[in-house]
Amino acid sequence: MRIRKVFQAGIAAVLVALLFGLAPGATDNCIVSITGTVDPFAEWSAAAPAIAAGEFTGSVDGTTISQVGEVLEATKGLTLYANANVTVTAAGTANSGIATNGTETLTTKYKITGDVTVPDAAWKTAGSGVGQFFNAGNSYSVTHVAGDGSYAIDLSVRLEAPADRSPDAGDYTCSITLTATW
Amino acid sequence: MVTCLCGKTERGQRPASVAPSADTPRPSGPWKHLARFMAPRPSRPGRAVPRGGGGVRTQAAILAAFLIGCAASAGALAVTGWAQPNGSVGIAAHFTAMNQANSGQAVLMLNHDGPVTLQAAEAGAGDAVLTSPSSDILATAYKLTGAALGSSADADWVSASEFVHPSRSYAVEGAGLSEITLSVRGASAAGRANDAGVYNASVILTVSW
Repeated sequence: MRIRKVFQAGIAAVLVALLFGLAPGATDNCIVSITGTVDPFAEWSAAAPAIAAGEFTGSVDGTTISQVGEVLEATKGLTLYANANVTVTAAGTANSGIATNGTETLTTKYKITGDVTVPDAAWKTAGSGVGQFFNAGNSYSVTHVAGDGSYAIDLSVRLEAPADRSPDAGDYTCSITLTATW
Repeated sequence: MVTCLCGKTERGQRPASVAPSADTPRPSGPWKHLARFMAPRPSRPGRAVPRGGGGVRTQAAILAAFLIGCAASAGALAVTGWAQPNGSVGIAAHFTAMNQANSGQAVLMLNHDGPVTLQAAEAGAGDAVLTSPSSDILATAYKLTGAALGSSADADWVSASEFVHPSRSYAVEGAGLSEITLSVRGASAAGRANDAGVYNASVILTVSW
């Protein structure tokens, strides 16, 4: 009788052990959670884009000024990558943003269009006075749309030769800095 | 299906017959023999009922076995499993630009008494991909390494979809307490700025033996 009960207990123990995970084919899980953070940021597609002489159009011969009062225009497509609302401002750097050859200058004007809240409808003269392109109050807003993150900003430049004389021959250069703030 | 028939026997009372009636499901197969073996023996006519009742000691023995089984299930006897049921990987460096890759890792401790198999899975489709509240995603890749993984350890990053694919598994060699390192890499998009915010993902690492 006692032996029988010992066997009974042994079988019960084996059964319970098998039921509770000592059986072959068992599994155990570890759930791992992962976290990463993306900060708000904005960056231009190109750090120092250039508008080459050959990109201007509008003159009689195409890309150069060859007559009094002639006008050249060019538009540079820029891309602003941003995941936050951004304000873009402009400042004149080399030659204060005015196309210059030695002491000679061409009347220089700018315009920003594209994915800005209020694109320029008219040209703005290079300068920091009221209504001019480099004026502190002249800024452009880019509103971020979730899931977008890429915005087209078109910078247009207009060079005008004097109407009453021939400007000195040669290359006229200048540069500006566009700053995105978020 | 396992059916547990518990009979209660009071002191000095004749145990009720455990012979299966027409209304009682009759065990079949191997259970038939077990049920017959575990059942208390019917008393013979005229024989005194043992002191304390014949089924009490048997039930006590079964209870003891049950407690042993419970202890085994609680880990006292089990020797294979994760030391922690949950883990976390924090990618410490924030993403502050496009096309930027950052990674983090966690060391998970695995108890095993022999060779076992590891597999990664996701609870829901896309759970393994770092995703923002706005549903934006970072390109997510994983890597499992550790000495116990031997040749099955990842030498390079594995995309999230490949990492959790059912056909992918890792062989854990040897026995004892092994360190399994789970590395996770996120990469921001190349052609746009990912939405700002906290990106989350999760994977389930299953050890099988």
